[in-house]
Amino acid sequence: MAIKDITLGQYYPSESVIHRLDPRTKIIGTLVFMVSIFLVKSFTGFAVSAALLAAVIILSKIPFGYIARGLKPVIFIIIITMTMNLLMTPGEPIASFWIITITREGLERSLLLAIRLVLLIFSSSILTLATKPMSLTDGLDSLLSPLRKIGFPAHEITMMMTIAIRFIPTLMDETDKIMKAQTARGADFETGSIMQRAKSMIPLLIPLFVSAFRIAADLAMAMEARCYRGGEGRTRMNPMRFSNLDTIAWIILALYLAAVIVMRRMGL
Amino acid sequence: MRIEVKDLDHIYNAGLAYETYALKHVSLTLDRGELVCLIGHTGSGKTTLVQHLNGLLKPDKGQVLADGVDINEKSPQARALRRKIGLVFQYPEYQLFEETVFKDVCFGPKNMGLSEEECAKKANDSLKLVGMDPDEVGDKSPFALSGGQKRRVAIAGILAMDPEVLILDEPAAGLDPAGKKAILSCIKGIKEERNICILLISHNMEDVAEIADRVLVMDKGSLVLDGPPGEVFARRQALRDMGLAAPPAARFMEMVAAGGGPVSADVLTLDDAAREIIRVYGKR
Repeated sequence: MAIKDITLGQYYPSESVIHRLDPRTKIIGTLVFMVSIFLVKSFTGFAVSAALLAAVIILSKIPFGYIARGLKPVIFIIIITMTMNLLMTPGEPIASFWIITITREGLERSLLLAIRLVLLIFSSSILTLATKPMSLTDGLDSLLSPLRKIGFPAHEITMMMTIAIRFIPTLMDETDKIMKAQTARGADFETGSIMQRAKSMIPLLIPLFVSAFRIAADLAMAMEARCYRGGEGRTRMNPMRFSNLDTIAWIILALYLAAVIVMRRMGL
Repeated sequence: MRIEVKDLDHIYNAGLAYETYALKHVSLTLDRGELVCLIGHTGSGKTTLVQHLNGLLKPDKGQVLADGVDINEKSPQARALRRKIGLVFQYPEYQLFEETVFKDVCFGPKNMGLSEEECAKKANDSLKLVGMDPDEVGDKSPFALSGGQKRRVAIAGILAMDPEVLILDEPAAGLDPAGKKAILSCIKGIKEERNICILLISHNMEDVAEIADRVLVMDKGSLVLDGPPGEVFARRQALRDMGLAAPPAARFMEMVAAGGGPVSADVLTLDDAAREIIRVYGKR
Protein backbone atom coordinates (compact mmCIF):
# COMPACT_ATOMS: atom_id res chain seq x y z
CA MET A 1 0.00 0.00 0.00
CA ALA A 2 1.12 3.52 -0.81
CA ILE A 3 1.37 4.44 2.83
CA LYS A 4 4.51 2.32 3.20
CA ASP A 5 6.39 4.36 0.60
CA ILE A 6 6.50 7.48 2.74
CA THR A 7 9.92 7.58 4.38
CA LEU A 8 10.21 9.57 7.54
CA GLY A 9 13.36 10.01 9.56
CA GLN A 10 15.86 9.51 6.78
CA TYR A 11 18.65 8.01 8.86
CA TYR A 12 21.11 6.02 6.74
CA PRO A 13 22.72 3.31 8.89
CA SER A 14 26.48 2.95 8.54
CA GLU A 15 29.53 2.57 10.76
CA SER A 16 31.40 5.59 9.45
CA VAL A 17 33.56 8.08 11.34
CA ILE A 18 30.87 10.72 10.84
CA HIS A 19 28.17 8.44 12.28
CA ARG A 20 30.31 7.82 15.35
CA LEU A 21 30.78 11.51 16.17
CA ASP A 22 28.97 12.87 19.20
CA PRO A 23 25.61 14.35 18.12
CA ARG A 24 26.51 17.63 19.81
CA THR A 25 29.63 17.92 17.64
CA LYS A 26 27.54 17.25 14.55
CA ILE A 27 24.82 19.78 15.44
CA ILE A 28 27.29 22.56 16.28
CA GLY A 29 29.44 21.63 13.29
CA THR A 30 26.48 21.88 10.93
CA LEU A 31 25.42 25.22 12.42
CA VAL A 32 28.95 26.63 12.13
CA PHE A 33 29.21 25.39 8.56
CA MET A 34 25.89 26.99 7.66
CA VAL A 35 26.93 30.33 9.14
CA SER A 36 30.27 30.12 7.35
CA ILE A 37 28.49 29.70 4.05
CA PHE A 38 26.95 33.13 4.54
CA LEU A 39 30.36 34.63 5.28
CA VAL A 40 31.80 33.36 2.03
CA LYS A 41 31.44 35.74 -0.91
CA SER A 42 33.63 34.25 -3.64
CA PHE A 43 34.10 31.14 -5.75
CA THR A 44 37.46 30.41 -4.09
CA GLY A 45 35.78 30.56 -0.69
CA PHE A 46 33.05 28.17 -1.81
CA ALA A 47 35.71 25.83 -3.17
CA VAL A 48 37.10 25.50 0.38
CA SER A 49 33.63 24.94 1.87
CA ALA A 50 32.72 22.44 -0.84
CA ALA A 51 36.00 20.59 -0.30
CA LEU A 52 35.25 20.19 3.43
CA LEU A 53 31.71 19.07 2.70
CA ALA A 54 32.91 16.60 0.06
CA ALA A 55 35.40 15.15 2.56
CA VAL A 56 32.60 14.73 5.12
CA ILE A 57 30.34 13.06 2.53
CA ILE A 58 33.08 10.61 1.52
CA LEU A 59 33.90 9.84 5.16
CA SER A 60 30.23 9.29 5.99
CA LYS A 61 29.96 6.48 3.36
CA ILE A 62 26.45 7.69 2.48
CA PRO A 63 25.73 7.24 -1.25
CA PHE A 64 25.69 10.61 -2.98
CA GLY A 65 22.26 9.89 -4.43
CA TYR A 66 20.75 9.84 -0.93
CA ILE A 67 22.15 13.27 -0.15
CA ALA A 68 21.13 14.73 -3.51
CA ARG A 69 17.58 13.55 -2.85
CA GLY A 70 17.26 16.37 -0.31
CA LEU A 71 17.44 18.82 -3.23
CA LYS A 72 14.26 17.55 -4.84
CA PRO A 73 11.69 19.59 -2.86
CA VAL A 74 13.68 22.84 -3.21
CA ILE A 75 14.98 22.57 -6.76
CA PHE A 76 12.11 24.78 -7.88
CA ILE A 77 13.03 27.55 -5.43
CA ILE A 78 16.67 27.37 -6.49
CA ILE A 79 15.75 27.73 -10.16
CA ILE A 80 13.44 30.69 -9.49
CA THR A 81 15.96 32.61 -7.38
CA MET A 82 18.67 31.87 -9.93
CA THR A 83 16.59 33.23 -12.79
CA MET A 84 15.55 36.32 -10.83
CA ASN A 85 19.14 37.16 -9.97
CA LEU A 86 20.31 36.37 -13.48
CA LEU A 87 17.82 38.76 -15.07
CA MET A 88 17.46 41.54 -12.51
CA THR A 89 21.05 42.39 -11.63
CA PRO A 90 22.34 45.54 -13.33
CA GLY A 91 25.94 45.67 -14.56
CA GLU A 92 28.19 44.89 -17.50
CA PRO A 93 26.10 43.13 -20.18
CA ILE A 94 27.57 39.98 -21.72
CA ALA A 95 24.64 38.74 -23.74
CA SER A 96 21.28 40.14 -24.73
CA PHE A 97 18.33 39.16 -26.88
CA TRP A 98 14.81 40.55 -27.17
CA ILE A 99 14.18 42.39 -23.85
CA ILE A 100 16.45 40.16 -21.80
CA THR A 101 19.93 41.22 -20.87
CA ILE A 102 22.32 39.03 -18.95
CA THR A 103 25.06 40.79 -17.03
CA ARG A 104 28.35 39.42 -15.72
CA GLU A 105 27.34 40.43 -12.18
CA GLY A 106 23.98 38.71 -12.58
CA LEU A 107 25.58 35.48 -13.75
CA GLU A 108 28.06 35.56 -10.90
CA ARG A 109 25.48 36.33 -8.29
CA SER A 110 23.02 33.66 -9.39
CA LEU A 111 25.74 31.01 -9.48
CA LEU A 112 26.99 31.97 -6.00
CA LEU A 113 23.44 31.83 -4.72
CA ALA A 114 22.79 28.40 -6.19
CA ILE A 115 26.03 27.04 -4.72
CA ARG A 116 25.14 28.52 -1.34
CA LEU A 117 21.69 26.92 -1.31
CA VAL A 118 23.00 23.52 -2.43
CA LEU A 119 25.72 23.55 0.22
CA LEU A 120 23.16 24.50 2.89
CA ILE A 121 20.86 21.66 1.96
CA PHE A 122 23.63 19.09 1.65
CA SER A 123 25.06 19.95 5.04
CA SER A 124 21.73 19.69 6.81
CA SER A 125 20.95 16.43 4.94
CA ILE A 126 24.19 14.90 6.18
CA LEU A 127 23.29 15.79 9.75
CA THR A 128 19.98 13.91 9.59
CA LEU A 129 21.32 11.08 7.42
CA ALA A 130 24.27 10.34 9.67
CA THR A 131 22.61 10.85 13.07
CA LYS A 132 19.91 8.67 14.54
CA PRO A 133 16.80 10.76 15.30
CA MET A 134 17.07 9.72 18.94
CA SER A 135 20.68 10.84 19.36
CA LEU A 136 19.81 14.03 17.53
CA THR A 137 17.21 14.90 20.15
CA ASP A 138 19.60 13.79 22.92
CA GLY A 139 22.19 16.16 21.52
CA LEU A 140 19.66 18.99 21.33
CA ASP A 141 18.61 18.28 24.89
CA SER A 142 22.15 18.62 26.14
CA LEU A 143 22.88 21.71 24.04
CA LEU A 144 19.69 23.45 25.16
CA SER A 145 20.04 22.53 28.82
CA PRO A 146 21.81 25.79 29.81
CA LEU A 147 18.59 27.56 28.80
CA ARG A 148 16.83 25.79 31.65
CA LYS A 149 18.27 28.44 33.95
CA ILE A 150 15.99 31.01 32.36
CA GLY A 151 12.98 28.71 32.58
CA PHE A 152 13.08 27.16 29.11
CA PRO A 153 11.73 23.56 29.36
CA ALA A 154 14.55 22.07 27.28
CA HIS A 155 14.23 18.49 28.49
CA GLU A 156 10.45 18.42 28.15
CA ILE A 157 10.58 19.75 24.61
CA THR A 158 13.20 17.27 23.45
CA MET A 159 11.33 14.48 25.22
CA MET A 160 8.22 15.42 23.23
CA MET A 161 10.25 15.34 20.03
CA THR A 162 11.65 11.93 20.92
CA ILE A 163 8.20 10.51 21.62
CA ALA A 164 6.80 11.98 18.41
CA ILE A 165 9.59 10.41 16.35
CA ARG A 166 9.28 7.11 18.17
CA PHE A 167 5.57 6.82 17.39
CA ILE A 168 5.66 7.64 13.69
CA PRO A 169 6.17 3.99 12.62
CA THR A 170 3.57 2.81 15.16
CA LEU A 171 0.97 5.16 13.78
CA MET A 172 1.90 4.19 10.21
CA ASP A 173 1.22 0.53 11.03
CA GLU A 174 -2.02 1.52 12.71
CA THR A 175 -3.08 3.52 9.63
CA ASP A 176 -2.31 0.56 7.39
CA LYS A 177 -4.37 -1.76 9.57
CA ILE A 178 -7.40 0.53 9.76
CA MET A 179 -7.21 1.22 6.04
CA LYS A 180 -7.35 -2.51 5.32
CA ALA A 181 -10.18 -3.05 7.77
CA GLN A 182 -12.28 -0.29 6.19
CA THR A 183 -11.43 -1.50 2.70
CA ALA A 184 -12.81 -4.87 3.76
CA ARG A 185 -16.05 -3.05 4.62
CA GLY A 186 -16.21 -1.59 1.13
CA ALA A 187 -14.59 1.79 1.83
CA ASP A 188 -12.92 3.36 -1.19
CA PHE A 189 -9.97 5.69 -0.58
CA GLU A 190 -8.75 6.07 -4.12
CA THR A 191 -11.53 7.16 -6.45
CA GLY A 192 -14.12 9.95 -6.52
CA SER A 193 -14.03 13.75 -6.45
CA ILE A 194 -11.94 15.69 -3.95
CA MET A 195 -14.97 16.18 -1.69
CA GLN A 196 -15.81 12.47 -1.77
CA ARG A 197 -12.23 11.53 -1.07
CA ALA A 198 -12.00 13.96 1.83
CA LYS A 199 -15.18 12.44 3.22
CA SER A 200 -13.84 8.91 2.77
CA MET A 201 -10.99 9.85 5.11
CA ILE A 202 -13.38 10.06 8.07
CA PRO A 203 -13.58 6.27 8.63
CA LEU A 204 -9.77 6.28 8.60
CA LEU A 205 -9.05 9.37 10.70
CA ILE A 206 -11.47 8.83 13.57
CA PRO A 207 -10.20 5.36 14.50
CA LEU A 208 -6.65 6.67 14.05
CA PHE A 209 -7.25 9.53 16.50
CA VAL A 210 -8.86 7.13 18.94
CA SER A 211 -5.83 4.85 18.65
CA ALA A 212 -3.41 7.75 19.05
CA PHE A 213 -5.12 8.88 22.25
CA ARG A 214 -5.20 5.32 23.55
CA ILE A 215 -1.48 4.88 22.86
CA ALA A 216 -0.72 8.25 24.45
CA ALA A 217 -2.73 7.39 27.57
CA ASP A 218 -1.00 3.99 27.84
CA LEU A 219 2.40 5.60 27.47
CA ALA A 220 1.64 8.25 30.09
CA MET A 221 0.47 5.54 32.46
CA ALA A 222 3.59 3.44 31.84
CA MET A 223 5.88 6.44 32.39
CA GLU A 224 4.09 7.38 35.58
CA ALA A 225 4.22 3.78 36.84
CA ARG A 226 7.99 3.95 36.42
CA CYS A 227 8.05 7.22 38.39
CA TYR A 228 9.29 9.21 35.42
CA ARG A 229 10.08 12.81 36.03
CA GLY A 230 12.24 14.61 33.55
CA GLY A 231 14.68 17.45 33.83
CA GLU A 232 16.61 18.10 37.02
CA GLY A 233 18.91 15.34 38.22
CA ARG A 234 17.97 12.78 35.59
CA THR A 235 20.81 10.57 34.40
CA ARG A 236 21.10 8.77 31.08
CA MET A 237 21.41 5.14 30.15
CA ASN A 238 23.97 6.01 27.47
CA PRO A 239 25.65 9.23 28.59
CA MET A 240 27.11 11.17 25.69
CA ARG A 241 30.88 11.45 25.74
CA PHE A 242 33.25 13.38 23.53
CA SER A 243 35.93 11.08 22.08
CA ASN A 244 39.23 11.77 20.33
CA LEU A 245 37.26 11.74 17.12
CA ASP A 246 35.30 14.76 18.34
CA THR A 247 38.50 16.58 19.28
CA ILE A 248 39.79 16.08 15.73
CA ALA A 249 36.45 17.27 14.34
CA TRP A 250 36.52 20.39 16.51
CA ILE A 251 40.11 21.19 15.39
CA ILE A 252 39.18 20.78 11.71
CA LEU A 253 36.12 22.94 12.23
CA ALA A 254 38.17 25.68 13.95
CA LEU A 255 40.77 25.62 11.16
CA TYR A 256 38.04 25.82 8.55
CA LEU A 257 36.32 28.74 10.26
CA ALA A 258 39.64 30.58 10.60
CA ALA A 259 40.33 30.01 6.90
CA VAL A 260 36.92 31.36 5.94
CA ILE A 261 37.36 34.50 8.07
CA VAL A 262 40.89 35.14 6.82
CA MET A 263 39.78 34.73 3.21
CA ARG A 264 36.93 37.16 3.77
CA ARG A 265 39.32 39.72 5.28
CA MET A 266 41.72 39.34 2.37
CA GLY A 267 38.85 39.79 -0.02
CA LEU A 268 39.33 36.45 -1.73
CA MET B 1 -19.96 -20.09 -2.21
CA ARG B 2 -16.93 -22.29 -2.66
CA ILE B 3 -13.45 -20.83 -2.33
CA GLU B 4 -10.49 -22.51 -3.93
CA VAL B 5 -6.95 -21.41 -3.24
CA LYS B 6 -4.54 -22.76 -5.82
CA ASP B 7 -0.80 -22.94 -5.30
CA LEU B 8 -0.61 -19.53 -3.62
CA ASP B 9 2.76 -17.84 -3.08
CA HIS B 10 3.30 -14.53 -1.35
CA ILE B 11 6.72 -12.94 -0.99
CA TYR B 12 7.43 -9.95 1.23
CA ASN B 13 10.17 -7.59 0.02
CA ALA B 14 10.49 -9.41 -3.30
CA GLY B 15 13.80 -8.76 -5.01
CA LEU B 16 15.51 -7.41 -1.90
CA ALA B 17 18.18 -9.17 0.10
CA TYR B 18 15.76 -9.90 2.93
CA GLU B 19 12.90 -11.29 0.83
CA THR B 20 10.84 -13.82 2.72
CA TYR B 21 8.23 -16.30 1.60
CA ALA B 22 5.16 -15.54 3.69
CA LEU B 23 3.19 -18.21 1.81
CA LYS B 24 4.55 -21.19 -0.10
CA HIS B 25 2.38 -23.28 -2.45
CA VAL B 26 -0.76 -23.00 -0.33
CA SER B 27 -3.77 -24.86 -1.76
CA LEU B 28 -7.10 -25.39 -0.04
CA THR B 29 -10.86 -25.30 -0.55
CA LEU B 30 -13.56 -23.87 1.68
CA ASP B 31 -17.17 -24.96 1.29
CA ARG B 32 -20.54 -23.58 2.28
CA GLY B 33 -21.69 -24.48 5.78
CA GLU B 34 -18.24 -25.42 7.05
CA LEU B 35 -16.69 -24.01 10.21
CA VAL B 36 -12.96 -24.20 9.61
CA CYS B 37 -10.29 -23.25 12.13
CA LEU B 38 -6.86 -22.09 11.02
CA ILE B 39 -4.10 -22.57 13.56
CA GLY B 40 -0.37 -22.01 13.46
CA HIS B 41 2.50 -20.44 15.32
CA THR B 42 2.91 -16.64 15.27
CA GLY B 43 4.42 -15.68 11.90
CA SER B 44 3.30 -18.85 10.14
CA GLY B 45 1.37 -16.83 7.54
CA LYS B 46 -2.22 -17.15 8.79
CA THR B 47 -3.09 -13.47 8.58
CA THR B 48 -1.31 -13.12 5.23
CA LEU B 49 -3.34 -16.03 3.88
CA VAL B 50 -6.72 -14.68 4.94
CA GLN B 51 -5.93 -11.24 3.52
CA HIS B 52 -5.60 -12.96 0.14
CA LEU B 53 -9.04 -14.48 0.41
CA ASN B 54 -10.83 -11.16 -0.13
CA GLY B 55 -8.26 -9.53 -2.36
CA LEU B 56 -6.61 -7.18 0.16
CA LEU B 57 -3.29 -8.75 -0.75
CA LYS B 58 -2.50 -9.93 -4.26
CA PRO B 59 -0.78 -13.28 -4.73
CA ASP B 60 2.72 -13.28 -6.22
CA LYS B 61 1.86 -16.63 -7.75
CA GLY B 62 -1.26 -18.78 -7.80
CA GLN B 63 -4.96 -17.97 -7.71
CA VAL B 64 -7.86 -17.46 -5.38
CA LEU B 65 -11.09 -18.66 -7.00
CA ALA B 66 -14.59 -17.98 -5.71
CA ASP B 67 -17.16 -20.16 -7.45
CA GLY B 68 -14.56 -20.68 -10.17
CA VAL B 69 -13.87 -16.98 -10.81
CA ASP B 70 -10.49 -15.43 -10.02
CA ILE B 71 -11.29 -12.74 -7.41
CA ASN B 72 -8.28 -10.64 -8.43
CA GLU B 73 -9.64 -9.99 -11.91
CA LYS B 74 -10.63 -6.44 -12.76
CA SER B 75 -14.19 -7.35 -13.76
CA PRO B 76 -17.30 -6.13 -11.85
CA GLN B 77 -18.15 -9.79 -11.27
CA ALA B 78 -14.90 -10.35 -9.37
CA ARG B 79 -15.50 -7.15 -7.40
CA ALA B 80 -18.97 -8.37 -6.40
CA LEU B 81 -17.51 -11.72 -5.34
CA ARG B 82 -14.84 -10.02 -3.20
CA ARG B 83 -17.63 -8.25 -1.30
CA LYS B 84 -19.23 -11.59 -0.52
CA ILE B 85 -16.13 -12.57 1.44
CA GLY B 86 -16.22 -10.76 4.77
CA LEU B 87 -13.02 -10.34 6.74
CA VAL B 88 -13.05 -9.41 10.42
CA PHE B 89 -9.58 -8.26 11.47
CA GLN B 90 -7.77 -8.76 14.72
CA TYR B 91 -9.07 -6.29 17.29
CA PRO B 92 -11.84 -5.14 14.93
CA GLU B 93 -13.18 -2.72 17.55
CA TYR B 94 -10.45 -0.27 16.45
CA GLN B 95 -12.22 0.22 13.13
CA LEU B 96 -15.40 1.69 14.69
CA PHE B 97 -15.79 5.36 13.88
CA GLU B 98 -19.43 6.46 13.59
CA GLU B 99 -21.46 8.47 16.09
CA THR B 100 -23.84 5.61 16.79
CA VAL B 101 -23.62 1.83 16.76
CA PHE B 102 -26.41 1.66 14.20
CA LYS B 103 -24.69 4.02 11.74
CA ASP B 104 -21.43 2.14 12.10
CA VAL B 105 -23.03 -1.20 11.23
CA CYS B 106 -24.67 0.50 8.23
CA PHE B 107 -21.29 1.61 6.84
CA GLY B 108 -20.66 -1.64 4.93
CA PRO B 109 -24.11 -2.03 3.32
CA LYS B 110 -24.10 1.68 2.45
CA ASN B 111 -20.83 1.22 0.59
CA MET B 112 -22.52 -1.56 -1.34
CA GLY B 113 -25.03 1.00 -2.55
CA LEU B 114 -28.11 -0.29 -0.72
CA SER B 115 -31.07 1.95 0.14
CA GLU B 116 -31.66 3.36 3.63
CA GLU B 117 -34.37 0.82 4.45
CA GLU B 118 -32.32 -2.13 3.29
CA CYS B 119 -29.31 -0.89 5.28
CA ALA B 120 -31.47 -0.48 8.39
CA LYS B 121 -32.93 -3.95 8.02
CA LYS B 122 -29.52 -5.55 7.54
CA ALA B 123 -28.05 -3.61 10.47
CA ASN B 124 -30.88 -4.66 12.79
CA ASP B 125 -30.65 -8.30 11.70
CA SER B 126 -26.88 -8.43 12.15
CA LEU B 127 -26.97 -6.77 15.55
CA LYS B 128 -29.53 -9.32 16.71
CA LEU B 129 -27.42 -12.13 15.28
CA VAL B 130 -24.43 -11.11 17.41
CA GLY B 131 -26.68 -10.94 20.45
CA MET B 132 -27.09 -7.18 20.72
CA ASP B 133 -30.44 -5.46 21.01
CA PRO B 134 -30.64 -2.83 18.22
CA ASP B 135 -33.22 -0.78 20.15
CA GLU B 136 -31.04 -0.69 23.23
CA VAL B 137 -27.57 -0.05 21.80
CA GLY B 138 -28.40 1.30 18.33
CA ASP B 139 -28.28 4.96 19.35
CA LYS B 140 -25.32 4.65 21.69
CA SER B 141 -21.83 5.75 20.72
CA PRO B 142 -19.75 2.67 19.84
CA PHE B 143 -16.98 4.07 22.04
CA ALA B 144 -19.23 3.84 25.10
CA LEU B 145 -19.51 0.05 24.90
CA SER B 146 -17.39 -2.57 26.64
CA GLY B 147 -14.57 -4.32 24.79
CA GLY B 148 -16.55 -7.47 24.06
CA GLN B 149 -19.60 -5.48 22.93
CA LYS B 150 -17.49 -3.30 20.64
CA ARG B 151 -16.09 -6.40 19.05
CA ARG B 152 -19.54 -7.86 18.46
CA VAL B 153 -20.65 -4.57 16.89
CA ALA B 154 -17.61 -4.72 14.59
CA ILE B 155 -18.51 -8.28 13.59
CA ALA B 156 -22.10 -7.15 12.96
CA GLY B 157 -20.66 -4.47 10.65
CA ILE B 158 -19.23 -7.23 8.46
CA LEU B 159 -22.30 -9.47 8.77
CA ALA B 160 -24.49 -6.62 7.53
CA MET B 161 -22.76 -6.97 4.17
CA ASP B 162 -24.28 -10.44 3.86
CA PRO B 163 -21.05 -12.35 3.39
CA GLU B 164 -21.18 -15.88 2.07
CA VAL B 165 -17.80 -16.55 3.59
CA LEU B 166 -16.92 -15.03 6.95
CA ILE B 167 -13.31 -14.90 8.04
CA LEU B 168 -12.43 -13.95 11.61
CA ASP B 169 -8.85 -13.28 12.69
CA GLU B 170 -8.56 -14.20 16.36
CA PRO B 171 -11.99 -12.93 17.35
CA ALA B 172 -11.55 -13.84 21.02
CA ALA B 173 -8.09 -12.34 21.56
CA GLY B 174 -7.79 -10.10 24.59
CA LEU B 175 -11.31 -10.61 25.92
CA ASP B 176 -12.30 -11.74 29.38
CA PRO B 177 -13.79 -15.27 29.72
CA ALA B 178 -17.37 -13.96 29.56
CA GLY B 179 -16.68 -11.87 26.44
CA LYS B 180 -14.89 -14.81 24.85
CA LYS B 181 -17.77 -17.14 25.50
CA ALA B 182 -20.22 -14.61 24.07
CA ILE B 183 -18.15 -14.26 20.88
CA LEU B 184 -17.84 -18.02 20.39
CA SER B 185 -21.53 -18.68 20.89
CA CYS B 186 -22.28 -15.80 18.55
CA ILE B 187 -20.06 -17.42 15.90
CA LYS B 188 -21.88 -20.72 16.33
CA GLY B 189 -25.16 -18.84 16.06
CA ILE B 190 -24.08 -17.20 12.79
CA LYS B 191 -23.22 -20.58 11.35
CA GLU B 192 -26.58 -22.07 12.27
CA GLU B 193 -28.60 -19.07 11.17
CA ARG B 194 -26.95 -18.32 7.85
CA ASN B 195 -25.31 -21.61 6.90
CA ILE B 196 -22.31 -19.75 5.48
CA CYS B 197 -18.67 -20.80 5.49
CA ILE B 198 -16.75 -19.53 8.50
CA LEU B 199 -12.97 -19.49 8.70
CA LEU B 200 -11.59 -18.77 12.13
CA ILE B 201 -7.99 -18.05 13.12
CA SER B 202 -7.39 -19.05 16.69
CA HIS B 203 -4.62 -19.73 19.17
CA ASN B 204 -6.87 -21.38 21.67
CA MET B 205 -6.92 -25.15 21.05
CA GLU B 206 -9.75 -25.63 23.51
CA ASP B 207 -12.01 -23.39 21.43
CA VAL B 208 -10.82 -25.00 18.20
CA ALA B 209 -11.56 -28.50 19.49
CA GLU B 210 -15.01 -27.40 20.54
CA ILE B 211 -16.29 -25.62 17.44
CA ALA B 212 -14.28 -26.68 14.39
CA ASP B 213 -15.61 -29.01 11.68
CA ARG B 214 -12.20 -28.97 10.09
CA VAL B 215 -8.77 -27.77 11.18
CA LEU B 216 -6.03 -26.27 8.99
CA VAL B 217 -2.50 -26.04 10.35
CA MET B 218 0.07 -23.65 8.92
CA ASP B 219 3.80 -23.70 9.54
CA LYS B 220 6.41 -21.36 8.02
CA GLY B 221 4.10 -20.30 5.20
CA SER B 222 2.93 -23.76 4.17
CA LEU B 223 -0.30 -25.55 4.88
CA VAL B 224 0.88 -28.73 6.59
CA LEU B 225 -2.23 -30.39 8.03
CA ASP B 226 -5.85 -30.30 6.90
CA GLY B 227 -8.56 -32.51 8.35
CA PRO B 228 -11.17 -33.06 11.07
CA PRO B 229 -10.10 -31.95 14.58
CA GLY B 230 -9.75 -35.54 15.83
CA GLU B 231 -7.35 -36.39 13.04
CA VAL B 232 -5.27 -33.23 13.27
CA PHE B 233 -4.95 -33.26 17.05
CA ALA B 234 -3.92 -36.92 16.95
CA ARG B 235 -0.67 -35.81 15.33
CA ARG B 236 0.76 -34.76 18.68
CA GLN B 237 4.44 -34.91 17.78
CA ALA B 238 4.00 -33.04 14.49
CA LEU B 239 2.09 -30.29 16.32
CA ARG B 240 4.69 -30.09 19.07
CA ASP B 241 7.45 -29.68 16.45
CA MET B 242 5.57 -26.67 15.08
CA GLY B 243 5.27 -25.10 18.52
CA LEU B 244 1.58 -26.02 18.83
CA ALA B 245 -0.16 -28.16 21.40
CA ALA B 246 -3.22 -30.37 21.58
CA PRO B 247 -6.23 -29.07 23.53
CA PRO B 248 -5.71 -29.07 27.33
CA ALA B 249 -8.35 -31.78 27.87
CA ALA B 250 -6.50 -34.09 25.49
CA ARG B 251 -3.16 -33.37 27.15
CA PHE B 252 -4.64 -34.05 30.57
CA MET B 253 -6.08 -37.42 29.48
CA GLU B 254 -2.75 -38.26 27.88
CA MET B 255 -1.01 -37.64 31.21
CA VAL B 256 -3.56 -39.81 33.03
CA ALA B 257 -3.09 -42.57 30.48
CA ALA B 258 0.70 -42.26 30.68
CA GLY B 259 0.46 -42.58 34.46
CA GLY B 260 -1.27 -45.92 34.05
CA GLY B 261 -4.90 -44.79 34.19
CA PRO B 262 -7.09 -47.08 32.07
CA VAL B 263 -8.54 -44.16 30.08
CA SER B 264 -8.42 -43.43 26.37
CA ALA B 265 -6.47 -40.30 25.50
CA ASP B 266 -8.54 -39.98 22.35
CA VAL B 267 -10.62 -37.00 23.51
CA LEU B 268 -10.67 -33.36 22.46
CA THR B 269 -13.03 -31.34 24.62
CA LEU B 270 -13.60 -31.02 28.35
CA ASP B 271 -17.02 -32.65 27.94
CA ASP B 272 -15.49 -35.68 26.20
CA ALA B 273 -12.86 -35.94 28.93
CA ALA B 274 -15.46 -35.78 31.69
CA ARG B 275 -17.52 -38.46 29.98
CA GLU B 276 -14.49 -40.70 29.57
CA ILE B 277 -13.52 -40.30 33.23
CA ILE B 278 -17.04 -41.08 34.38
CA ARG B 279 -17.15 -44.08 32.05
CA VAL B 280 -13.98 -45.54 33.57
CA TYR B 281 -14.14 -44.42 37.20
CA GLY B 282 -17.74 -43.47 37.74
CA LYS B 283 -19.07 -46.99 38.16
CA ARG B 284 -16.78 -47.98 40.99
